[in-house]
Amino acid sequence: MQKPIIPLLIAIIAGIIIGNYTGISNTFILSFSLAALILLFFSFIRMNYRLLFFGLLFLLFLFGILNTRVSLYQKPAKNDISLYTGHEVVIHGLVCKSPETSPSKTSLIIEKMKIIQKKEVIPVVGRVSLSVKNNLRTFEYGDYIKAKTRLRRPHNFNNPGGFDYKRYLHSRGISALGSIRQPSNIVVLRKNRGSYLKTKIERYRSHLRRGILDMSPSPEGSILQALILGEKKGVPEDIREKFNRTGISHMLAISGLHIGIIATLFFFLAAGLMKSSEYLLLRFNIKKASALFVVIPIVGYAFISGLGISTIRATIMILSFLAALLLGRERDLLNTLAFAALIILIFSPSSLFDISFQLSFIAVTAILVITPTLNALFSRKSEGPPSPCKKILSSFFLFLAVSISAIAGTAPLIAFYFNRISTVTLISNVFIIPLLGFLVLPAGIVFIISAPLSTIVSTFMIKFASFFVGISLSIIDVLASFSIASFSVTTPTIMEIIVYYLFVITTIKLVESVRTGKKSVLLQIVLAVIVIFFLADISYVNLKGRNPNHLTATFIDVGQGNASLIEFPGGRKMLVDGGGFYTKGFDVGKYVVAPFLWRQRIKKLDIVVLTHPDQDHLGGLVYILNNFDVGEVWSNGEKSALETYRYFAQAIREHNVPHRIISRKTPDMLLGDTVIKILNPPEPIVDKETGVPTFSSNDNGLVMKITFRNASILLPADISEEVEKRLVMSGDNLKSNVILAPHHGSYRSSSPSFLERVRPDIVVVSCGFENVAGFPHNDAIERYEQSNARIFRTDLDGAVIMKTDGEDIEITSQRPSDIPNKGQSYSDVDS
Amino acid sequence: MLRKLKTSKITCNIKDMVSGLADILFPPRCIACGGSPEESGKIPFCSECLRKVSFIRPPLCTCCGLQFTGTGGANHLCGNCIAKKPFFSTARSLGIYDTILLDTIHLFKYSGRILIGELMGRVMAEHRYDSLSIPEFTLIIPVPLHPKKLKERGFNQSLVLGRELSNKFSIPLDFGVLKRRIDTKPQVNLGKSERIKNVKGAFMVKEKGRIEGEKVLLVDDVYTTGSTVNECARVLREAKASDVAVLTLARA
Repeated sequence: MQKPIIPLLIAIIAGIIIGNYTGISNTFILSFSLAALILLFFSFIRMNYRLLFFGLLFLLFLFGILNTRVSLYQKPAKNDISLYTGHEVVIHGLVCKSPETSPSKTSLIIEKMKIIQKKEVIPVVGRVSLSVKNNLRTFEYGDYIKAKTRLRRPHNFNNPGGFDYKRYLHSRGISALGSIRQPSNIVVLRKNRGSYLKTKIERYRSHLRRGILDMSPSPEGSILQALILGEKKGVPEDIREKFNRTGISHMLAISGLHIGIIATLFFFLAAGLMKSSEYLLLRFNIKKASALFVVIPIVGYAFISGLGISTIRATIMILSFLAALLLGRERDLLNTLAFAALIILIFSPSSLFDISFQLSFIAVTAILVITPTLNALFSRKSEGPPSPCKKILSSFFLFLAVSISAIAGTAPLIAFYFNRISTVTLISNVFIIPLLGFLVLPAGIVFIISAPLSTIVSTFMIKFASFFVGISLSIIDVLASFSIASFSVTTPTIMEIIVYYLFVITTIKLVESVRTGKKSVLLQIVLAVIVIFFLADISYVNLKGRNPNHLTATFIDVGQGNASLIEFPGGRKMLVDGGGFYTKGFDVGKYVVAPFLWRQRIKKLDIVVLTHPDQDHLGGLVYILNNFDVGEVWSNGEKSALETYRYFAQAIREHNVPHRIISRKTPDMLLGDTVIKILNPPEPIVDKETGVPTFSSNDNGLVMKITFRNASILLPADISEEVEKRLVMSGDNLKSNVILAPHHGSYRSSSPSFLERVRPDIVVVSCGFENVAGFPHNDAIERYEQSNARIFRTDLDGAVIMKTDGEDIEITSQRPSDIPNKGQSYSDVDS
Repeated sequence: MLRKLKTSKITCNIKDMVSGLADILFPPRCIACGGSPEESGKIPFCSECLRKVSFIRPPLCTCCGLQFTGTGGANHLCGNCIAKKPFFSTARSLGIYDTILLDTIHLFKYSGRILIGELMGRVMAEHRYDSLSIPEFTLIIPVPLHPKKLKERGFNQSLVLGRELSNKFSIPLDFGVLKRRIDTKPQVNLGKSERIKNVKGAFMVKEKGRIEGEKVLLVDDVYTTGSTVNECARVLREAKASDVAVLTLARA
């Protein structure tokens, strides 16, 4: 076997995936593991390497299952902090990571906690992530704090294909969240309670941070902070967006490229120094000695840059390559890469699901697989030692080949996770990697070393670095300003991604076979089949949306708020509201609604409806208007003083979207067999620009009844009992199979007389998990229960999907598996 | 004594196991094409590439090791060696400097793949040469590079080869006694007479006493016209070496 680590890696990956999605019992796996261990021991003693290899293969597979199960499905300890969620508690604990500060908040990770409850001190395990808002103080690693907060359990937006935030936090040991709005609710009791070494390192880091921020202008400083210290929270959102648009956001994270550059730098530095001494050159192997030397700075840098999980992974990757060089096993880089991945997955199986892990490894794999072929196409073989000019040219081609390979390798994953393809990514990488990687980063390294020694040198280095960061930012500005720089794509399916990689591999093989003069008919056939698959797939995707004969309504889990996607028979699509958070910094449109739509392969929305301009209905729509092809916008005409409303109106203007103001006066609209009837408001709300209309507007909300043959859905927005009464009085036919609970299930809505007229079979409550208003209220739920309606809640059931052919109704939900049904609490707070 | 032997056997066994494991996880590869190497594991080439290596076969020149064309016939002196007897007694090479060996040596020398040199040094040590037996020598000396050249390249290719030979046969290696005092032009594009002129007086022996009475094996990467090794042999003989023989990885 040529690359034996690859099957071993596949074995552990298979184990992790199986462990992740199935529930095999632990004893079963343990007994198998024991058998595998015994097999392994004897084959090792007997030096039967073939058997040893298979034993290893089997053991890694089992290990993958076991490790994932333990880390994922293990019940929390009896004194886990997650058991104290839901009420206000006082915690004492240690800030165990350097706090991350963004303009709006400071995030603290607290561990080694004690809970103070009724004068009782209870030690607890697990970590809490505390976000401190409106904070003016600085916290640092090693602070022992006391905080009063209401802890929450992390909760996902449970939509098809949504980001698994819970797992993300779980893999970092965090099982509860808390936020602190009043600065008086958190105090530092003692300082310097952390470990000695880490305190020293954090001290040094904050020294460096101050140096960077003091000596460089504003956006440049934050980029340097990301590049040198691995802290990217400080990078302004708009600059991050530009990095994304130009396809170079990887430069902001400490990745394999980053550590690789540092390793290369020190390798050549060591080799250069050695080359000045004949004595050393005659006695030592220059390559091995330099490789050995490189270990010190890269491990040192891993510490200085804060030991982030992606940094550790990148360091392991580079260390594996160095070890291969030292042991004289450097020839098979792919095998070495697989070794690095294996090590990482053994110690941290959840890394497999981390986007940064996947991107780094796929990028390097693509470089190793594609680059040799590309490079051979670019350059000709030459005899004897190459001339310097040729050398420079060929290194440029190599750089180009490496960039193209990495882009080709990561493109499908970027499309999958970020729904974006950047068209300028090759150009920007060709400019930015040399600038940031070969000039700024080395200057940053010199800065790290020189900071305690010489102010002159360190100041100069930061000035030098920020100058080139400035140049990079201007280049990025120009590239990002092209409207075609990046476009959004719908989420590719796993199958499409696999076929894409098969296509790349076959093309490489085909090019290789043509180059060596051995044309392969088989390869050509495989390639043709793949191309046909792509063409068929594209036409299928286009046709699929066009002609369904069902009406589908998806009540998206947007946390507290409403967002419903209606897909009409015939293929037209309507989004009713877009969710939205009251707190700044989390765009529900960007992070929840848009990914959901892309996942459904939707890029075009024929109609976007805003029922009323409240944040939890309006917030997400701005991103949708700016990133989707929207046919028209419907609203009741009401304006709002909210900042978000300004952006909403601006987006409508900028994209020239027709804005229809609708009301009860609007005639029924027909979309094929589907009828949309507007029941409220009685007349359009125009020119009602009051100061603070945000709370009074609920009763102006658009109420829509959508009827497809004999099935109907009622979307009553946030109306209260008064409007309900008016609707009952009006004598409209309110009977609906499905109703979206008015005002998220508030007790002031869903009045008995209204429900009597609607007579819903199914009620969907769209509300946030453990929301502060206590939605849905018990009274409302009881009323629905009395009317014998099935109740679905987006906070507990995730997205609720209703599908009808006009007669039968089929309803499913994206129910998360492990959330216990929380008792509903009653509260008087209105929102 | 017995006990010592036992422990050394155990350590040896563990070392074997570990290296066996390492071979399983990171199997050796053909240094020319990257394919799976030939079965025995002693030669770092795959069987296909190995076939392309033109090992020196008799008949050959008893002195300089030149391979005569045609098969059969006994070894005898070549015209050059009859016309002008070289300063070395015998010169032998692993193979002809073409195809695979040429590519390999280029990778080693110009792309800095030191590992390839080490592996080729091991192959040189394993090979049996016609009327040259390595264990008979008492000192291995690699053809030196001028310090300037050494600093440019970062390693001395002859030293890399020589070190492997020295390790294998436990023969002392001396890379300091023979010095190159003139930074000569590369021999690559020169004719025979120019080559001789180019290296004339380029070498010197630093401590004359070190060489006296030693049977020296001079190691180099490529033997083209023999002018470089011949010049080295001349100064070594001047320093009273009892014998000087030449072993190179490849020859023209």
